[in-house]
Amino acid sequence: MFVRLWHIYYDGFSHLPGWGKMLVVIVLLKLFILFVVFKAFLMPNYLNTTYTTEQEKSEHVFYELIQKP
Amino acid sequence: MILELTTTSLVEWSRWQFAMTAIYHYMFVPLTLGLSFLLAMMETLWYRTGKVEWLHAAKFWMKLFAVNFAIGIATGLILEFQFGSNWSNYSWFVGDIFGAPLAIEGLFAFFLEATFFAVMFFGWERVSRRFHLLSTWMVFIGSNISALWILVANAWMQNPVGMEFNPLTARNEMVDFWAVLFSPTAMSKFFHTVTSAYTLSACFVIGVSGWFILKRRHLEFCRKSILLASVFGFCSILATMFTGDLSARDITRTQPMKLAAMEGLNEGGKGVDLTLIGLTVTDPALPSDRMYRVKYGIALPNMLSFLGYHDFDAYIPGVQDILNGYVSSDGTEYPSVEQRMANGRMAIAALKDYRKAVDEGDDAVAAQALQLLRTHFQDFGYGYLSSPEEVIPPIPLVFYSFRIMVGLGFLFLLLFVVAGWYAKKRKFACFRLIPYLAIVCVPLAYVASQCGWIVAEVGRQPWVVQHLMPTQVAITRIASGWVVTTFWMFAVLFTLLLIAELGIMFAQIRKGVKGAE
Repeated sequence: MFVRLWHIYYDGFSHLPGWGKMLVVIVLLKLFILFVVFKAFLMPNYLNTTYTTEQEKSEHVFYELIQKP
Repeated sequence: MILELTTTSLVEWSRWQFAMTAIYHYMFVPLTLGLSFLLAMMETLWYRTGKVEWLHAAKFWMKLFAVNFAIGIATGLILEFQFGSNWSNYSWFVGDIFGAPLAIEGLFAFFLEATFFAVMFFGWERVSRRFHLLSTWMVFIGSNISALWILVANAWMQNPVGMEFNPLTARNEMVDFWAVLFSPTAMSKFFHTVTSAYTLSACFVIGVSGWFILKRRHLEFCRKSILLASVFGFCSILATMFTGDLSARDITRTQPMKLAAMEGLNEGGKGVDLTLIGLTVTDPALPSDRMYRVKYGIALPNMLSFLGYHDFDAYIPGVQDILNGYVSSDGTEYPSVEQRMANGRMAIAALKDYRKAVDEGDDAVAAQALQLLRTHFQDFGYGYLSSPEEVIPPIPLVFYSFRIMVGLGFLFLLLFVVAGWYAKKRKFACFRLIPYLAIVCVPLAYVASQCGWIVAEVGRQPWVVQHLMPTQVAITRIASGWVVTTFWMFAVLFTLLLIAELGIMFAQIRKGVKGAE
C-alpha cells in the first residue's frame, strides 16, 4: 500500500501542470521560512531554550504567577 | 512607570501579532472545511449517476480547493510558535489541556487529511473510482476533525472545565477528557464554526459561478454548481443560526460580560430587549470610560432574555450589574468584581504560601494554604487586575462585529433562496443583479467569518483563560521590539501568501472548466 501511495505521489508531482509546480514551490518556500527562519531563529520556544528541566520551567512560571500582581 | 509602559506595549504587540496571524490563517481555513463537502457531493453524484458534468464540476472545484489548501497549509503553525515564544506563561499554565487536543489534531486528523488529499488530487487515473470517492470524503472528514480539536482547545479557554490546577507544577492538568471534549461551549463553538464555514464555501461556489454567468460561460456547469451550493448553503446558514442560538445561550451562562458587550448593555434586568441596530456612543454620565451607551437603537422587545434563557422574562445582567455582582436567572449568585479581585489575590497569596510551606516541610500550613487556593481558584485571574473596569472588553468592536456577522447571515440566507430559484428556472438571460450579488457575497462571507471570531476573541478580553489568566499575565517577558519585528515579518509573509493564492485562483477561474460547455 505504501509503495502504491509513493507512486501516486511521485507520478502526481512529476506530471504537475505549471500552476501546480508554482504551488509546490510556494509551499516549500513557506515551510522553509516557517521552520528554518521563524522557528529556529526568530521564535524559539522561550521556556525550552532558557531552561533545561521541567522543574526550572515550573519555577519560572510559578515566580511569574506570584510576582505579576 | 517605564516598566508598565513597556509591558503594556509588549502585551499589545503580542495581542496584535496573534490577532493578525489568526485572522490571516482563518482566511484559508473555512473554504477547506466546506468546499471539501461540495467536492465529495459532486463526485458522489458522478459516481451514482455517471453524468460527466458532475465529474467536470468536481475536478474544477478541486483545483480551487487545492490552491487554497496548499497556500493555507501550516499557516496555523505560526500560532503555535507564538504560544512558545510570546505566550510562554500561558503555554505552561494550560499545557496539558491545550496540548492534548492540538497533539491529536497534528498526529491524527492532519495526516489523515494530507494522505487522502494526495489520492484525491493525484489519484484520478491511478486508483479505483470507489477508492477515489472514499478519499475525497476522507479529506472532508479529516479537515473537519482537525477543526474539532482546535475548537475544543479554544473552547476550553472560554470555559475551562475538566481540569485541576497543580500548585506544585503551576499548571492545569486534565482530569476529565470527556468534559473538555463535550463541554457545551466546545460543541456549540465547533458546530457554529463549521456550519459558518460551509456557508462561506457555498457563497464561494455561487459567487464564482455568478462570474461565469456574467461572462456567458459554462452555463450548465453553473446551474448545477449553484443548485447544489444553494441547497447546501441554505441548510448551512439555518444550522449556523441554530448553533448561534446555542452559542448565545452558552455565553449567557459562562461569559455574561461578552453578551453585555455584544449588546452594549449597561444596566440589565428582566425582559431585556435585543438591539438590532444602533450606535455606541461615549457618555460622561457613565461610571467608566470603557462603558458606552447605545443611541438610535432599534430593538426587539424581550428578545435578549429569550435568546439567553428561552424565557421572555429572564434576567440578563448588564456591564454595571456584573461589576456590582448579581443573581443570575438560574439562581446562581455572582459576587462583585471587586470581591472577585480580593478572592483572586487571596488565591495567589495562598499559592505562594503553599509552595513555601512545602519547601519548608510544614504540612499543616501547606494544607491550609491549599484549601484557601482551592476555595478561591475560580477567581484566580481577578487577582491580577488593577481595577474592576478591566473586565470590560472593547464594547464598540464587539457590538458592531456581532451585528455585521448576523446581518450578513440573513443576506446569505436571501442569496441561497434567490440563487437556487435563479438556477432552477434558468433565468440567466435576465436578473443580472443576482450574479453580481453572488460575487459581492464572496468577500462578505469572509468578513462575516472574521467578525464572528472578533466577537468570540475580543469579547472575552481581558481573559486568555476565562477568570483564571488575564492577557498581561500570559505573555513572555521579551523585548517588545522583537515582537514588533516578527509582527511585520508575518504580515509580509501572509500578505504575499494571500496575493499568491488570489493570483493563482483567479488565473484558474479565468481558464474556465475543462470539458464543460
